[in-house]
Amino acid sequence: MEQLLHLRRHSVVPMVLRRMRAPLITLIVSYSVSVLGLVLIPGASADGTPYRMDFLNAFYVVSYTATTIGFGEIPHAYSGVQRLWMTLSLYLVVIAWFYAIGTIVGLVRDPAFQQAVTWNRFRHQVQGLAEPFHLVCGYGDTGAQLVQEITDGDGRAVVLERVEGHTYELGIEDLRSYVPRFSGDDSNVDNLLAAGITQAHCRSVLAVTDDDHANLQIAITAKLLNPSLPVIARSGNDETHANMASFGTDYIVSAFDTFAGGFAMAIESPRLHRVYEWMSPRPEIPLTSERLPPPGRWIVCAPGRLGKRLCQRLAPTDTEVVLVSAEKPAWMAADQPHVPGKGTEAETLKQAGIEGQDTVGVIAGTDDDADNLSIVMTARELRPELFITARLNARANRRVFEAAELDMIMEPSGIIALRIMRVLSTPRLPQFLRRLRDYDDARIGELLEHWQQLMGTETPRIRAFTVGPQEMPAVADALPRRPVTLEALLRDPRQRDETLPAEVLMLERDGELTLLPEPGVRLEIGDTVLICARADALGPLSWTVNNLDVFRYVMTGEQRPDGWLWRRLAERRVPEHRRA
Amino acid sequence: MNLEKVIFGFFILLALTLNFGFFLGEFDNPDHHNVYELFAALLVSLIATVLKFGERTQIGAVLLASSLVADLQLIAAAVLWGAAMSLSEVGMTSAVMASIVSLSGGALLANLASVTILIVETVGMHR
Repeated sequence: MEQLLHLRRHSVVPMVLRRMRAPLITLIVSYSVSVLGLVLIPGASADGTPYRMDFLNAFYVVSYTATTIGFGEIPHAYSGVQRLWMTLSLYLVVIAWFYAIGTIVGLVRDPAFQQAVTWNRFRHQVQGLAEPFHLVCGYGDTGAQLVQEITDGDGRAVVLERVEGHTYELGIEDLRSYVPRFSGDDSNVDNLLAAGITQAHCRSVLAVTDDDHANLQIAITAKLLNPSLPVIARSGNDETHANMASFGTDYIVSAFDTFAGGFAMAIESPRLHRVYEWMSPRPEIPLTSERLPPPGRWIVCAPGRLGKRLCQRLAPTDTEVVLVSAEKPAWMAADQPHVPGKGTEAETLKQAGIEGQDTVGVIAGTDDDADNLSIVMTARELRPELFITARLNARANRRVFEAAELDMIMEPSGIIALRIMRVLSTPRLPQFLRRLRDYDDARIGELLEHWQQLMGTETPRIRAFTVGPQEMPAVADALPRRPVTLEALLRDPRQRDETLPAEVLMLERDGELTLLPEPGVRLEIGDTVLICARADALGPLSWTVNNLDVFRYVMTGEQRPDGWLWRRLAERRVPEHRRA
Repeated sequence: MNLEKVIFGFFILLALTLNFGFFLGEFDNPDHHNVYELFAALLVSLIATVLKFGERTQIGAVLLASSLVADLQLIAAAVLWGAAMSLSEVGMTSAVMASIVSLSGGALLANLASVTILIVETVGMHR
């Protein structure tokens, strides 16, 4: 295993040397021939005394001739034979130089050579990373969003991408930290090792290529080489999903599953859906449309998996789904409504009953953006008041979709990126949200209203703190001496009578989860609290839990001077003060 | 028979023989040591070095090292010769000749090592 993990560098130097054999020998031979000729050919000095050039002078003359500097005829003017020889040598050595330089240039431009050099550089850069990083395999729409958000959150990312042109954008993108990248097979074991899959700093592997098989291979490679490393993979179909789950992939994301689930939730329990949206870890997206999909009759123009998922998820809710696709899929029961066609023509939509009063919305979910827009426009012409959702396949078309003023845009790459970011940034939030589903919708509505009054309607920040010297040193320090309640954590460290706009969502103690714990609950070492706070309250909060003096002030109201000298002075002052 | 191997062996052996030829003779007698022979020894030694470039085996590395040593010694000898003849007033004395020949003697050892390694490797191949 150790040997396997010891990754060899691509050997660049032997490659250069092997290629340079012939040109170097040509150079040596042409120099030697020229030098020897100059030494052997007899010459005469100005006064006619015959002489022969020695090797040192001959080498000097050939050297400056070869580099075309040409200092002239030394030590004496040449004879005719010497000039003839010099002319021949001049061409000989200059051509030899061109040959050598041409070979080097050709080598540098050789794709195999460049690949070897960039691979070595990439490996070196990744090894040099001294901070935790996430390995992103696949730099498509999803990968690009993930990298952007990881770096925005002061994290580091490493990118492996199969298509060479895609990583060029990384160089143009304005990111907060440098992202080491390599274009090569992203499921190749050597490349994954070079990308640091076995390194201690690697926090997770995100397999988000658009190829299911590649994702599967990345996930299984990661699990075999580094079993403790969390693997998050994107999967497009049920088989891959089951396969990934079978060897313990930590988190499997499918855009269609997620969208269909979210859509059904929006119809079934709109307030829970609002909470999901509000707590999404992407602060740059504010609450979008105020309108939520209503229950009723839906026309789904989605052949393939998206249509299947939507039919399955919407079946238990108060809705009726009419599927529009070229052929009736095999999984559909005979009595389920189906209209053959694409949905881009008014005729098909009319057949699907778009003019019926119980029809409430249309989902344009084909894998072609132009078709989707066409469905949207046709449907809107027939019934402008319908709830219209469209699937956005290529992120580049986003502006067109925004201009269409849709009620909801379904963007698979964005959904996957959002889902993964939620797992990465707040791994406990999905647990909380899943538990929250047990509450009834009215109660969730009250909670949401309460939270939004407290923290505002903008996306809050959610962080999990574990009580201990790592994440809460001040609390861990005080705990043996005095009890600390949850309520104390949320006091404002600038003015302790006030409370920060924050809420404790969940308390985890010995693996047991308490949803929305009472403010009076006392903390214990090892507890994990999930705190939701307004963006500007997170700073003061981490101040409280990290700084001993601030924490003392929050707990007791006492502001004690710190530092050896001030403590000394304070000690002296207190008795005098008491005496007085 | 492999032409590449023939050329390789030829240059390595020729480097040794030329070197030996130059070395042969009365140690400090300039008449016994030919400047052209030194030139040829240096030329062949350089070519032999380049031929060894890019070998990735352990033996290849040792061969390259011994060749580089021989080059270094021969270049030193050639520079000494040139310096004595044209840069200083000394001229070719027996002391200078002794230095040059002893340098080439060192190169001879390195070349001998090269040939020995080559023979050992060839014998080990059993083909």
